[in-house]
Amino acid sequence: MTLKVMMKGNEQILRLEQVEKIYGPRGAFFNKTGKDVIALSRISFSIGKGEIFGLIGESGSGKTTTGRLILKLEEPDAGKIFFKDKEVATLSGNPLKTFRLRVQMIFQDPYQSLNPQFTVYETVSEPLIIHRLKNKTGRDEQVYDAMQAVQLSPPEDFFSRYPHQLSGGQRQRVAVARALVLHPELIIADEPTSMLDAPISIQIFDILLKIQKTFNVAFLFISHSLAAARYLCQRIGVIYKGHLVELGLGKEVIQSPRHPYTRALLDALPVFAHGKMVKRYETLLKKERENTRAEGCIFYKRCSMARVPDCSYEQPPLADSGSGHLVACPYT
Amino acid sequence: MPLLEVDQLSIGYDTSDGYLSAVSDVSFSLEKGKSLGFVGESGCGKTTIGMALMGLLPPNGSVRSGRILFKEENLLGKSDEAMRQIRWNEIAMIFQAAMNALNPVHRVGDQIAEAILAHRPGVSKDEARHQVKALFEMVGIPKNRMKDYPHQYSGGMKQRAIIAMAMALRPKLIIADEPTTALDVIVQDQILQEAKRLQETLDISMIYISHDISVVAETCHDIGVLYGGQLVEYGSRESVLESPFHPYTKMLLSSFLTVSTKRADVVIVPGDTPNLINPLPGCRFCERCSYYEASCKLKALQYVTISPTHKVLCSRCG
Amino acid sequence: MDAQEKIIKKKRLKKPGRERRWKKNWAIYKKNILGRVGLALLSFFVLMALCSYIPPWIDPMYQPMSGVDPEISKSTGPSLRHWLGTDFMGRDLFSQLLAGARVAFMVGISSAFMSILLGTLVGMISGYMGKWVDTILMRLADIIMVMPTLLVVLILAALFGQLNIWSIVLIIALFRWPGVSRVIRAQTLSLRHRPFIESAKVSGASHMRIIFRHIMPNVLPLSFLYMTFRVTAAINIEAALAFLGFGDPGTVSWGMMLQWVWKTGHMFKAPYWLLPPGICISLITLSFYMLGRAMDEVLDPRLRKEGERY
Repeated sequence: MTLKVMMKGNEQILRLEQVEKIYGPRGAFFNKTGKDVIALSRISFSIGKGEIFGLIGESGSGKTTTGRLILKLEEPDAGKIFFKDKEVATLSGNPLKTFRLRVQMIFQDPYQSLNPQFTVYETVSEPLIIHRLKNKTGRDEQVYDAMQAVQLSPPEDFFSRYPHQLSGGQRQRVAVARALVLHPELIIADEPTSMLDAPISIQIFDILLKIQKTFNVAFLFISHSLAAARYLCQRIGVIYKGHLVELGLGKEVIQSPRHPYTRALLDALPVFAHGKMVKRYETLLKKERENTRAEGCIFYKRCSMARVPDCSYEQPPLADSGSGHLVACPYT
Repeated sequence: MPLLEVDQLSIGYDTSDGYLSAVSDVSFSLEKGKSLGFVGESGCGKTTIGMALMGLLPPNGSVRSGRILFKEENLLGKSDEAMRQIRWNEIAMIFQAAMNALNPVHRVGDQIAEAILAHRPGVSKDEARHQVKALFEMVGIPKNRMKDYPHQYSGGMKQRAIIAMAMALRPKLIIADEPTTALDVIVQDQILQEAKRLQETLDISMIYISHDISVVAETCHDIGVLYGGQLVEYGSRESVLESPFHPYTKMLLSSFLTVSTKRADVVIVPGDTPNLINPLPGCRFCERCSYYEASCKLKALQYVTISPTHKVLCSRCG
Repeated sequence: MDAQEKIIKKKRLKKPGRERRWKKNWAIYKKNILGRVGLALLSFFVLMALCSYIPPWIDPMYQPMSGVDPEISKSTGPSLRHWLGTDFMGRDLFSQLLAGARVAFMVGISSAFMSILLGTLVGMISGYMGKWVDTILMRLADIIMVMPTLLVVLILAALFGQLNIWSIVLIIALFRWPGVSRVIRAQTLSLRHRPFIESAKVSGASHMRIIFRHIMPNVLPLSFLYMTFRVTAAINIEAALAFLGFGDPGTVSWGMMLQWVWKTGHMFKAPYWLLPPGICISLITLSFYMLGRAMDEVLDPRLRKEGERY
């Protein structure tokens, strides 16, 4: 497969090749069919240095699993993940520790991702202590800088607080500061604002953009929102039921979506202040097809553009539809 | 005479930190068959208003002043028993994340039939089942799914079932608190369209409560914007969305991202939600506001009427 | 601002959060009538234990174990000289009762502490590591849990002869950890997949660090809660052992006192001798139990709240 979609003239930092993740049946009692659940099916993409890449999908699409696989919180069942040309799965011992220095994560729920027993200072400085970086003064310096980068200022006002004394937005900033304090090269941000209100989300996005500029950090931005991805990301990948169905520059994916699922997503976005709702694409069937085959196109069940029965035979591969805009649908 | 009229409603909670003023002097009205949406950040008092309408405030919460007139009767003076009669029969509520509240060991259809039987003693089991069938048809769940258990439903179907349950007793008013928050974008859109269609065809009044301005924008005739317990802007959908006056409404609208949002257009307003423990009488938004001057914080606010259908709680932004 | 200044500011600011939390917890505790009674009772026993050093210091004949009133050679009732009377050989019962409080605390707290330590450790490791480690540790816990402690101690005592008080403490501890480890394991399991644990993993934290820095502070309140219940159990077991004649003959515990009443045939003749230790055992276990219940109330809403957003 030749799926090397890269930013031009940019060094790539992360590469996924045909990554697959399958969860076994949860015992015959709950899952009578006993079939494996395919969480991710042959996903390939890459992220350039300092790039913000958006991975968009609904719940259960495998977008979070992708993040967890990259971070080596889980192991892929097939395929390879390379971080700077080193395969992540083979890392252990010191190389793994170095990898943990370079790749960080921001979790979805700031109410859950901070240890309730840790003060803000303890939370943010912990990664430095784990990696035995710097002495006490140097650590304080770095924590101070990270806190300022996430606009929690003056930092010393927050150092001694506990998570339950902070608002949701402040907690997520602390989480960002914690991820940032090691100066990583890649940050996986898994729906960092889905628990926050819109004005606070914007503040967080603003911080992420500033961090990307100042520290040249690459982001994998995982989200269910095309609008947020468009706002933040250079390139966007759309994932549906474990399959990457569209991949391209943010502008192109939004302005000329190719895959029927991406079009359905855009249709569902609210258009307000202009009176009536306009469905531009209408790619969603009113009534879903029944008894579809497992090996067919993943979107066949709901697709109004599908060719019957051609689309029900196999999942079309992700293919270039011109100028590096990849689509897993041959009929658009 | 409107179906619901709320007049100068103030609600507070006794907390271990002191008196928390959750809702301050909120007034609004709702005609039969119309829909009203409250939008605001978490902690702005929107859920508290819904709970007060249902008479379901938690034990440490209480209505401080004001009136809630439903069909020209003040709900606040009613006994618990009288409120129980009104609840579900007249006013129903779709709670936040209610779809996870379906009992996992009972069939979905039975659960709704149960709700009908509990409130309508005269109805036979067969009749109830018949009504459920009609309700399912109405909200768009295939009839053959009546005998399924909740775990066999998708998130969107569960939410439809919850809507069916809220409508089971044909209430005059339905309050929907974050009805689509946990759902995926496409399903969310479908559910909202469905709810809107039902509201129009059945002539029910609806109150939507959401943090997401797009939910309210898609479904409601009137919109109320809440900030820190104050109703800062209130008016018809068009007037609020197209010519917002209050700086907070402007901020809320500008921070709502669409696929065509340009980074340069977004106004980033620093600051966080206000502390509502013993607040000053003035404007709660003043600390984040660009029109701020010293008197804003201290002086009690007056509504400024912009048009008959549009009022703003700010004397400086007009 | 230079780094030095920052540190000073940080140190100054470090306290209020934790202090406030204690204050809040205390406020909840105070509301609980059971907790207040328990605490009052317990302070009374602490006072007793502290006072146990006074009588022997006034006169050697008040030595609880070896001091004998030279003028008395049989059990006598309360008098001004002996507030609670004397036992069969003229030892002062009041000073024995005071010394018994000291022993009860020693036995109760040290064995409870040890069993909690062991139970917490095993529970955390078992819950965090999972897989075969979990299976082995939990099966071991099951085996020990189903063994009747008292019977095993009796058999051990029969095998090794007289046990001293510290071996009794140790045995109680060794047989009483599985219950705690079950609870701690369950708590650890619920913590293990919480994002803040994964966040630590992503930052490169070792298993040791995750267990001791992240999981432990979150389960410790629960451990301490269980400790109060374990104290109750330990005091009861020690008293039972002593009463049955397997206690440490060199220690004056309340159980020992009861044994002496019974062995010398004063059971129904000397209520001044029988009742005080009996009442004390009941009350001290009751007070620890009430303490635990009240702490439970403090802990429970917080445990629930921690996960919620508020």
